[in-house]
Amino acid sequence: MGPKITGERSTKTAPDAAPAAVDDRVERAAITSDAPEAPAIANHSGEGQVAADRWTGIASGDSGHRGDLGSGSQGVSQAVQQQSMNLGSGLLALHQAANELAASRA
Amino acid sequence: MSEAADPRDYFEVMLPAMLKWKGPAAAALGCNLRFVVNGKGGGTWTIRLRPPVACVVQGGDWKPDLTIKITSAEMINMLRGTFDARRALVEGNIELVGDLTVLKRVGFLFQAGAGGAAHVRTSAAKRSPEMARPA
Repeated sequence: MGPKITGERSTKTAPDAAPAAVDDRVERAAITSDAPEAPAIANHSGEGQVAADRWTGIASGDSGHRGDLGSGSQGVSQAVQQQSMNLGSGLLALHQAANELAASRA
Repeated sequence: MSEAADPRDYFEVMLPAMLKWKGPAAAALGCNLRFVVNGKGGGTWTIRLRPPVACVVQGGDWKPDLTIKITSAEMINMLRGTFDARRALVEGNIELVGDLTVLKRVGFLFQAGAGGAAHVRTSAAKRSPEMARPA
């Protein structure tokens, strides 16, 4: 006889599944531990630090240089990912719109 | 509607972190994309998507393959996901100079963000250092 199927959802989870509540922290830990060397930028005094504090998920680094993203714990938050995806979508939309406009003018 | 950083915050804090996360895939594109953002929080930034490491450089010293001149308001719309490309072009809020195929290449790079996030989350649970680096 096969397994009985009921309306209840199984409570069994995959052994390597992370609980939803800690997903974000787990993700940040993974990114920060193995990321390659950061590109140099944001040497405008102080502003990088302020923005880094405001946008969670991006640490300002432990080097003591304000606005320096070149060292220390770093990661990308959901907000950064979302805005970068939006930027990607915007660039693709721009490509399509520019081609359509060029074709309509030809 | 999601909250969006102002352009300066995005280009100087968030985007470098994102490029670092993308790793070699970003550098492999082999192009430079310059943004000239006019208005509040504006400035000029060049996204260098070239080996050895992709990065953002403030200013216009590096020769761009494509330059996007855009108003700060439209840049924020783009980051929020409320951007209407056709309207922005028609109204003159955006000007494109250079190789338009760069839009497509860079667009696909960034749009793949969700897949990368899921990839990292899974790898974190498995504690596999190799998997933590998106290709």
